[in-house]
Amino acid sequence: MFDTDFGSRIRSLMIKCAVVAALFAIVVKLGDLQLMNEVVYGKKSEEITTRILVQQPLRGEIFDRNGSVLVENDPAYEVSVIPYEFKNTQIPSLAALLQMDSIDISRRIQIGENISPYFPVRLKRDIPFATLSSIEEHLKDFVGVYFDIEPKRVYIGKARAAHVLGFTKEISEPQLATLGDYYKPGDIVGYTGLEASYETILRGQKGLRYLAVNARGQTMGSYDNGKIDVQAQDGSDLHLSLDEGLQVLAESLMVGKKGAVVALDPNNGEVLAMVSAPDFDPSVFSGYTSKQQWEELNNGDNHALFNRATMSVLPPGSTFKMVLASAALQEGTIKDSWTVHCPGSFYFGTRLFRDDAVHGTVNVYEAIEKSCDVYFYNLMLKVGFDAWTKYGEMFGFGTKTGIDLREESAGILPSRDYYDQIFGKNRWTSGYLISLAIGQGEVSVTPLQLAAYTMTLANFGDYFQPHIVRYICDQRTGKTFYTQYSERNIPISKEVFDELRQGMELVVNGPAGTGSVAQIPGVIVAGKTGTAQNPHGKPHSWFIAFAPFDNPKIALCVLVENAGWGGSVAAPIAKQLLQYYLNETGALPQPQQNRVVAAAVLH
Amino acid sequence: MFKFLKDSFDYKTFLLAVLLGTIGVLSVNSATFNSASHSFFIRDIIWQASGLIVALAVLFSSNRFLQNGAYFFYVLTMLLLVFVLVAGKKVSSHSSWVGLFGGGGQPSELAKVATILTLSKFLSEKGSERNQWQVIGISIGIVGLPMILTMLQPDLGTTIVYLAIFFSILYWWGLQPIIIVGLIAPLAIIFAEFSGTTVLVITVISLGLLFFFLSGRRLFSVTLSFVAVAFGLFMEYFYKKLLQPHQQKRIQIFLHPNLDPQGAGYNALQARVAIGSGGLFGKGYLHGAQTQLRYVPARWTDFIFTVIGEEFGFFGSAVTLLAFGALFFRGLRIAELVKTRFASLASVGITSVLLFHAFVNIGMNINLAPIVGIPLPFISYGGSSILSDWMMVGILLNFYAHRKEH
Repeated sequence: MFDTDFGSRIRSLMIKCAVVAALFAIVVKLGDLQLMNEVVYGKKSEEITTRILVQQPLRGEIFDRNGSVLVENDPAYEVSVIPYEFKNTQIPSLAALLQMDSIDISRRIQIGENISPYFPVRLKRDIPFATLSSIEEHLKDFVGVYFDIEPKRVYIGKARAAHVLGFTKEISEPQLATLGDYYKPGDIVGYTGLEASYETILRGQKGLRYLAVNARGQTMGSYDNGKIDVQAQDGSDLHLSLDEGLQVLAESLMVGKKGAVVALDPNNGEVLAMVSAPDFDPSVFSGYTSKQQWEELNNGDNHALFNRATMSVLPPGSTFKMVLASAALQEGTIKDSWTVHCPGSFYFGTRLFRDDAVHGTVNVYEAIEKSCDVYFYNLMLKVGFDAWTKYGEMFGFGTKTGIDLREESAGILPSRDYYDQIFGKNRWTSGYLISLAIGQGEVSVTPLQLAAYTMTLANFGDYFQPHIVRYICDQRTGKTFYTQYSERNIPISKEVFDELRQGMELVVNGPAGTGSVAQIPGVIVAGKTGTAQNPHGKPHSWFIAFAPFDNPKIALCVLVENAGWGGSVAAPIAKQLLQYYLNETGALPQPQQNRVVAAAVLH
Repeated sequence: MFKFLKDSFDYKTFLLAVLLGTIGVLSVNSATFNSASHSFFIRDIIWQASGLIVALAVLFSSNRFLQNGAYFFYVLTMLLLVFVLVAGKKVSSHSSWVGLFGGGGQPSELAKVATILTLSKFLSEKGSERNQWQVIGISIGIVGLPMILTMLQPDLGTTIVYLAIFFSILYWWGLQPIIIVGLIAPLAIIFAEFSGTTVLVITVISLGLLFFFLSGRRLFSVTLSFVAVAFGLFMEYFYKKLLQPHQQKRIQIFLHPNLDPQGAGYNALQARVAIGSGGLFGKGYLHGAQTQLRYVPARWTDFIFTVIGEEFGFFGSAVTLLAFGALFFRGLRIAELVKTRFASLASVGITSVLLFHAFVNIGMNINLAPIVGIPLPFISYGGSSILSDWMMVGILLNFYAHRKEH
């Protein structure tokens, strides 16, 4: 019936055309893949022919100024998963083995997979040694699950210095999004303190080892003889200016209190001690941190993670009086002989401002010594707002000190503009200045700012940028790098500083000094008390001091919140710290009597 | 003997098959090199040798043996197909492997050869006696039975191979082009439906134009187009019931390969990466990073072309394609040389099966065809596949040897 067409020429031709078309299509597509896009696929091929093994560098260690170790690393055991090798059906049994939440596991894997399915995702870190062997045993039953050792932070120093050192923690999702490509889920990152501010220096560089892998996921040795491997580079060490002994003492003195201690070396701005109380144990974060622990520390009533030394902004009280005095003396508003009669209170218009006591007729020295408010009320009206603000700025108030910690507040230094802004133009009067004269009202400072201010009073106006890290030591080369810090001179004459310092000397050593508690035999201590009124309870107790008077080696600021008078709470703490540090540095003369006794025994 | 070699032995076809088989052995060696699967290399050599013997055995069988034994062979393989459905052991979610010679075998591979022979026998012996519709109906029956049986296994790739057998043989036999297009139309529409509205519209319009061009009748063309569309839509309704989830997924992934780069699409992506990274001359034998590092799954079976593409590059791929092309043309040449219609039809059927296998297999390696899991003739590892390939070569050789006989 269709015989005529059987195997006809046209049909033969059509079939041959089909054959040629099919082969041609393949050749074209092959050409596209192999000739046009070889580079693209070649690169892809390199990327996925291997299993990537991430080598965690050792995080840099942290030392105090005398070379004693504060933070180092210990091996910790972790379990990770390579998402594309892993089968989700394993999740329940894996969760049971690791004692983790199934949802948590699948979420972690999901996040990691989105970034790269070939990169290991850490599931659980810091596995306790006790359960180690049983977990390791059972892990062999799982596909795509690996067991690794990674370094973990250990805090072996006697000092906690929790807020200075800060802590490391597993990177959070928002951080992953903002910190860039270096980090992968499960990575450890410096969260606070020096761990955060020196993150890129401390962390080092991750190494990448490329392993050849067989069909069963077993490694077949290094890929391409390790030619494309990247060696891990350990992080650099930080050598701090912190004095461990002083830090330990300061921490012990602040136990059970709320407040802060900042001690600086007035010769260079190095932080000798920095305490924020209450503190926390940074090692809590170095391994696996439970949600509950985190919540408690982060949101608890104590705000233990909050660095009061650099972030807490409170009215400085009478410690601020030298700002006003310096303005008055330097601007020539008054001479040091200028006096005010203090009847114990001060009327501005109809408003009454009380003083602590009836101080009688006082000059600038006595006013500082006795912390006479009436003197400074009067002085403030003479000096004026602008000069006060200007000198406050010169001492660094209202701006961050630029210390090498991210956690820092600028505080508030009121000015005309500031008052115009918050109260409205012409909606505030000179009466508002009265409080500022004694460091009350809108002015607020951090303990660090007050310590830096004390430093400049101690060294006649050299403002060194406060800093904690003295130098960085590169692990590989052994080279040290000194970090550059700014320094500036406050344009106030030596004579004015002499006058301010004399007043501060009297605070401690004068007959009516408010800080006589801080007297140390054999050494002249200068200081200033501050009692900042607190509408919510007992006043905040401040004390700033430096010593020895003629050749200051330490300048410090002690704050105890809701504690009472500066002279009675903060000053005794400051005294012990000064005594310890001066003794340690040899600035404290050895008691003469002992030598006499020894000599007597010899005879 | 010399006279036989000179007159009766189609050394061209034979050498092309040997060349392809050799490429296969080398590729399987590379694909399994240094791995626990390397025993497949030895087994591949054994299967190729066995295939060679089968081919020679078929070559030297009598001129009437194939035509006479076709129906018996057909019934036997159909029984085997039923047997695997009932008692087959599962291999990668197919049930097409039966315990044969202790190693397992896929009767669907043999069933293809049996179907070619049976359809050719039927058309050459009875085709002229019946009317066109009876011929079509019975042909559909002959091809439809193994098709349904393989579809039930389920084995999508092999199922579609039967379409190639059916259309190529009937076309060669002389079926009107319009009927071929009419039969292909619903299938084209089903396929187009998964590819999006634009493709569907284009397909329907071009089918309508094709109908009009072939028949010259407007009303008839439009009606036929509508019937085709209706059938396609009807089939789409059964899509979810007829196809297994993994088959649906494969089709989806073929059409949208970026949907699932880690699942089934992962295979396709890995294969493409391997082949693409081969470049012009490849990375060198046993030096393909993708294949040596075993990133390509099923690399000694369905994705063996990645070994050729990666290690021998575009050049090696082209050589392989040329060998295939030459073999196909040799098959078509034999179809024209032989005196019997049976041999001619069967030669075309064999050529189309080999072409279809090669095209779809290489196509799925390079994202030109869905990943349906059919082997690359002579090259993919697999006993029954290699045996049936060689058996088909043997049949071509037999036809050539007896080409002058009526």
